[in-house]
Amino acid sequence: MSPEAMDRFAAELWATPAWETGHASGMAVYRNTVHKACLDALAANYPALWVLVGAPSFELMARCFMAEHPPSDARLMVYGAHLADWLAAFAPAQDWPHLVGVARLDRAWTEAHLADDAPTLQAHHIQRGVVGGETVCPPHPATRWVCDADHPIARLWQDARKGLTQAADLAWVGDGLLLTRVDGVVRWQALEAADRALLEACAQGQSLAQALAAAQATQPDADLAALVARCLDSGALRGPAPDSPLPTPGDPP
Amino acid sequence: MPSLLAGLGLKPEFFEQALAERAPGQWWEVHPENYAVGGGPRRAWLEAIRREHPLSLHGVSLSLAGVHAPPPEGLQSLADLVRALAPALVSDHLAWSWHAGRYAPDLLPVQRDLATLQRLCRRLDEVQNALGRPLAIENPSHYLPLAHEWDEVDFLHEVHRRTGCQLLVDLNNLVVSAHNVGQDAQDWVDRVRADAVVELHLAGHQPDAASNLLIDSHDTSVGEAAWALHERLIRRIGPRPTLIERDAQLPPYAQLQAECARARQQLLAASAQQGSSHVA
Repeated sequence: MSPEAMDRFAAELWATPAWETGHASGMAVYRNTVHKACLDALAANYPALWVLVGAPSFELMARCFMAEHPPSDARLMVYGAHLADWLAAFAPAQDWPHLVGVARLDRAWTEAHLADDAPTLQAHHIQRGVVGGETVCPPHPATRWVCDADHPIARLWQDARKGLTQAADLAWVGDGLLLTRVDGVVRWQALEAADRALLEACAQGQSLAQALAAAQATQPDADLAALVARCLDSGALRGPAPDSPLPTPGDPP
Repeated sequence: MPSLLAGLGLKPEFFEQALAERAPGQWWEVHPENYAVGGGPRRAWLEAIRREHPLSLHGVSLSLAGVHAPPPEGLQSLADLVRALAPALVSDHLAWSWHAGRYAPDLLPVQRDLATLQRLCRRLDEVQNALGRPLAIENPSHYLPLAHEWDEVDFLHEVHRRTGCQLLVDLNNLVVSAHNVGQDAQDWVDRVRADAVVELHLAGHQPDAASNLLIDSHDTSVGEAAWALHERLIRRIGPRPTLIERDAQLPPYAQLQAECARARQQLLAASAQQGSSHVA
């Protein structure tokens, strides 16, 4: 097959509309296989979104996304990394703005699952003085947090992961989740404003003392001891490697 | 007895059973693209399996026959996995999947002509140099009649001669292609060079009424025609590690192991036959 013939083949492969119910021709076999693999990957990577919108609407949305953003990575487990941003501008979804946050939580789960390993900050690091107030403890590579000021995305996402669609008694107020990975398993918990402020400060390279001050400033009634305990229990922050201490602010990178 | 007999695709659904499996000669196959991560639980699962069993890395994205090279990260990730896991087998397909920066998750058809041969050999040299070992390439299923200059066996033999690559013979793909484009499956298995073949695949397929094509669906048990080709091939060339491929409509683990047992039986019979013919 000449390069020009492969250009034509590839163009036909991605041509829309490309959803055929049967394999009317050999070309259709390739086209359907490619499109089904992309759809299956998006459904697997966005399971809560799939539950909330239902299979037919998800398929319609996925077709539009695939037409604009075919895979550019052979690891289909990361396909659709920017689906939430795309969804925010997708005209047919404008009446359901909470779907964007749900999609961000689906993606956060995938990122937490696939992230590199690293030591987590443990209570004994603080107790033994290995880590102090001046230490910079960035978020663990698997730590993600997502919140939405206006929509209960945490409740919607958690229910959808159990296969449940929107509950009738759902209070329509904003919320968020902190996702971390403990012993290889992605776990999540409610995200308070203070948690978010602390994590964002840590991500910006501020010391633990500065991050706690930021948390207190954001949520004056926050229980800082409880906040630290949550961070330690969830493994949200990176801890020192045995032979490599964490830096303090201003240390050269 | 050969050290590798029947293998099975590793699925999260039966990871614990796979880890504990003690059938003689059992090995496990994964698509390396699904494990191209720096750490985390996926990598930990794979390393745990590797500590207990031989492993096959069966790629689907090297796009060996493509005109546009895939991003270099894919080959680098595969090379990293090969170094870390020392797999028994490493393979990909006579196909392309990358074009103009887009990845099409399928094994797209290759026209067997001189330009393709030269391009494929250049790419194989690059891949095998990066891996530091030969790569086995698999005959794909065909759905389109193309104007080939080469018969598939002759083409693969020439690629083997030029690059030192190995061959992975998918017997279900031969059955599917015989139906779809008129390839002669028996002639294929009777002519393929014994010294080039390092691995065999068995799978099931489905008929598609709309097109009268067979689809290499991997969603059903291995068909009798593929079993017959398997027996015919290993009777001639001797036993080779044989994978039972099942990617959808997964049956209970015991049913997959029953298919592994049947493959094992054929492989051991071929091994015994080879031993007796050597003695004779």
